[in-house]
Amino acid sequence: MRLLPSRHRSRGFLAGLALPLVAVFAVTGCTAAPSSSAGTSGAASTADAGTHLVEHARGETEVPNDVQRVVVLEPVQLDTTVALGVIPVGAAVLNEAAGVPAYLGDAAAGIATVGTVPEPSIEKIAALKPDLILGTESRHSALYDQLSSIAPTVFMATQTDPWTDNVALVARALGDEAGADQLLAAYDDRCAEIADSYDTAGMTAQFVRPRDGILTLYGPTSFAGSTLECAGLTIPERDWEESISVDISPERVLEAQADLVLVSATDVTDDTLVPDSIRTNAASFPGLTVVDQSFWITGVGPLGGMTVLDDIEKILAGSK
Amino acid sequence: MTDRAVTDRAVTDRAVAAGTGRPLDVGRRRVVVGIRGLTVVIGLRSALVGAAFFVATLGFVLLALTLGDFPLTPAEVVGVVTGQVHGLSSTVVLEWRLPRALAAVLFGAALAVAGGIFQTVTRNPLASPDIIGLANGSFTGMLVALLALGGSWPLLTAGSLIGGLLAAVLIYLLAYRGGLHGFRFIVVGIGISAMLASVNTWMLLRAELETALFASAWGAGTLNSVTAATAVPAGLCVVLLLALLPLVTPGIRQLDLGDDVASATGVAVGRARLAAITLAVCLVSVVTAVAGPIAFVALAAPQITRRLTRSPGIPLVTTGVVGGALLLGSDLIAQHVIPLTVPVGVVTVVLGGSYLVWLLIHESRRRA
Amino acid sequence: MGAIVVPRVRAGRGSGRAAWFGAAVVALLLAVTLSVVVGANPMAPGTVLDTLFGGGSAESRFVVWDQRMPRTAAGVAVGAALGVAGALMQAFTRNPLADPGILGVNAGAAFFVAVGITFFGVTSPLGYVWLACAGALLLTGAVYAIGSAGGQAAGPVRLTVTGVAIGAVFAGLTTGLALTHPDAFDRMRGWSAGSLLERGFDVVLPVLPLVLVGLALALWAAPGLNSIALGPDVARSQGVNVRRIQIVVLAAVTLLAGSATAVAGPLVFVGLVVPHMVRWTLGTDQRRIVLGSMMLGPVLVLLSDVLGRVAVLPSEMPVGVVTAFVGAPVLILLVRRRSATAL
Repeated sequence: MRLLPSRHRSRGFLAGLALPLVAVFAVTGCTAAPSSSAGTSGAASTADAGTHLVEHARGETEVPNDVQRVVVLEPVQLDTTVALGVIPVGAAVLNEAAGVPAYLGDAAAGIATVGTVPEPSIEKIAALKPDLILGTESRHSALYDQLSSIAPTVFMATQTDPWTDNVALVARALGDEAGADQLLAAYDDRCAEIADSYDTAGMTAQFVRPRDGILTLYGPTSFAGSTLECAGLTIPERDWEESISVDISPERVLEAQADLVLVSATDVTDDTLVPDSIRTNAASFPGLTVVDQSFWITGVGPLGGMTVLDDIEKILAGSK
Repeated sequence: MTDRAVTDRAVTDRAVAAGTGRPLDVGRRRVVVGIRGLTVVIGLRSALVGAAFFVATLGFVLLALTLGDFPLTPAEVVGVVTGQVHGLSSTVVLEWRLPRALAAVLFGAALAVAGGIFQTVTRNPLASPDIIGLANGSFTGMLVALLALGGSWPLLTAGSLIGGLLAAVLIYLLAYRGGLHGFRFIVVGIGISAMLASVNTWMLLRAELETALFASAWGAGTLNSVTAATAVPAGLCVVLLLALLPLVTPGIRQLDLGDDVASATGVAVGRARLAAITLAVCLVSVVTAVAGPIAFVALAAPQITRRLTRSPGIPLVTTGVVGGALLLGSDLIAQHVIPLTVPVGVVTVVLGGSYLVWLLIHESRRRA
Repeated sequence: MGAIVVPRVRAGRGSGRAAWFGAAVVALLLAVTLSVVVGANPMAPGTVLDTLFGGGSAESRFVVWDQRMPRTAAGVAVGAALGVAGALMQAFTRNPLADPGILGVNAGAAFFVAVGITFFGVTSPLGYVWLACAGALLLTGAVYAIGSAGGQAAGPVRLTVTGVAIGAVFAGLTTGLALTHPDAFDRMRGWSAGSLLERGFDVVLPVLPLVLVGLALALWAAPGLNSIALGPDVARSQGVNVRRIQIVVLAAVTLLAGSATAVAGPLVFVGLVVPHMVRWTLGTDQRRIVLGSMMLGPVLVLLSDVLGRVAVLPSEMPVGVVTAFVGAPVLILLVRRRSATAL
């Protein structure tokens, strides 16, 4: 009955896994068609046998150069891999019943779920025979050794870090830093485009998430807030207490005023989801719009960012 | 029988005959195991129940090794166990499934024994280590480690241990007033527990949704993060603590008869109680540090055992076996029967509670 | 646990009692005033007064009439209901640690609310109210039915054990449901904290009749409870219909605790601590305890709510979180001062 920790076993196992992989890649490398058309990755699909070293929150890991079967355990990783054209074979999702978020599009619809983000299933991951696993130290810390025994595992530190940093880490792991740069540049370009065509300079916007009466205002360091500011809008000044968001009591609802007020909801067509405090003061909130929570809050990543920017454009166009 | 065992039996029978209210049952067979000074008395019926549950546990372990999302045929599992099959299959069976199954058995035993000790010492069938704030304190410690300190696994374990033990110590200090009286202890426990629960609620409210989900899953008690690396040290601790049980049981059994009888037979009541409770607290802390506060095993397993063995007190060894089977069975259900991912603690609560309810209905029908 | 409340008659002279109730009325008025004047949005008392009489700006009218007044009304109703329910439970089970929640009220309400959120998309406090009421009533009924299966009236111990078991089962089901549905989890974690936010008059008024009926039943049953405290046999010898009193008490507890939980979510400590504070200062006459709890309960809830409004500006702490912080030290203080075998 062997109960030894698998760390030293995993290195031998890793070598055993890497060798046939490398052989397979070497043979198919020249004949492989370039990866799919999200336009960015797979450029180096030559006979680039070998691995590259990736530094991450759990140290350093040798990752194969041409990763085909990725399993991702965090939404930002899912978004980034899909955006880079490497559709994962498995992903941990927030809502097992709902599966992969809809905003990721048809390409992502077929991804197998390997459990929830907080509690992924090791066996489901192993059954998919991945060649790279991406996870988060602050959530999956206990599982690192087990995951490493399946495939090279790269961990990002926490999900609250700036999402652009995590995009860069995912791209490094996939060996496609150029792809990440392209994605982020496209995002910035789109921001500038919106800022120019709708002349957003000087316009204020506030993203609000209602939670049982309390209103959570999202600040410039949050995903939604940073996207709004990228598009040239300004989030009203306040003391953000070094956090991505600040809660306010409904008595202070007027502090959420801005030219554009975006209230998040799970169902954008349901008006009752707008909190009472805002509805009662509708006169103070002329520029009120209900937006979809699934990408404004949880859609962290390049594709989510673009979807939010599309939404912003729609709102700005509608309000003109 | 040793001298000690004879004395115990004589005292017990005399006390019962003196009319403490329990029917004199000269038909109870007992088995005494142990050497002079360290004895464990096991009734025959409880030995049988224990053996039955032990066999069930073995069956559950076999199931746990065979079932799973990683496709393995029973032949492959046998091959791994006999050492013929290697590679990923071997890793899956021996390093993922086996540690989890063994941890479930050991943790279940630890919780059940701790619950049994508590219920015996406080003479209250509803007593559970939860009342002394261990569950809530551990959760608080874990939340602090997760939300303020980054949340890597060793930090979470340490936070949970420290939080639980600090809560227990705080309750002890506040309840101690020239002696430790059970009632004051319970009330202070409820008070501190409630305050810690509020702190936890507040922290969960302020956390991001996925973080709160992760924390709540831990807070319900989950074996999902139990790996060989975490299970082995915790399992060893549990085994060591359980090995100390024979030192504590004689004192507990005398406490069961009431404080007066206990002091008359030379048991230092305060010390016996303290030793027993300390052992129970340690058992629960170790389990909670790794798997979170798994509810109801500590509460239900001793009661289930007591009813099955029809004994007046709580036979601790049998309770341990029952607890192990209960937790492992619940984990199997949580993993393989329920389609979505639920923590094992949810299953233990629902199963344990349902069984208690069924017992209550059954008992009343028998009496009516 | 072996500790039975031994009725201990405090020096309860008439003038002492009158003074107590006078002080309680003052405390209640003070709590209500604080609840209207103090809040997360600081306003001068003059402005509040002005707004109460029809003046004030749109913002002050919103704060006073849409936020604070309904909240105060809800706080009074919930506090009275929980205080009395707790007093009844403690008298009925003769257990000083009984709480209305042990009958499964909280577990039933939470389960129905979770099911409503998950499967029926209920999102407003008004929706929660009906679900929670239904859940509380049904589950308490089930506890009573199972607890008294076998033909006899349910004894307190049996009822307690049944309530704990059934309550645990449903709490587990609720947790399982919430953990597998993140949206429901998000809403449940807010509801389960126990809060008076967004509880407008439209939420409180429908359950007010239930609360009033419950309070009336409690006052009617209180004299009988005095006799029952001496033991069911003594009570019967005094001509008290024990069975009827028990049924009335349980009905009252269900109505009161169910309505309170329906409005505010589970507030556990109020029902536990308030009767003790009353008993400590006023004696063990159940009629006075019920009346006293009716007055002190709102004080505890409103003061906790006010504390929650100013403790974490600009946000608010839900009242359920604060009541434990306020009530637990009181409880611990009480148990440390008195002799250990009774509270």
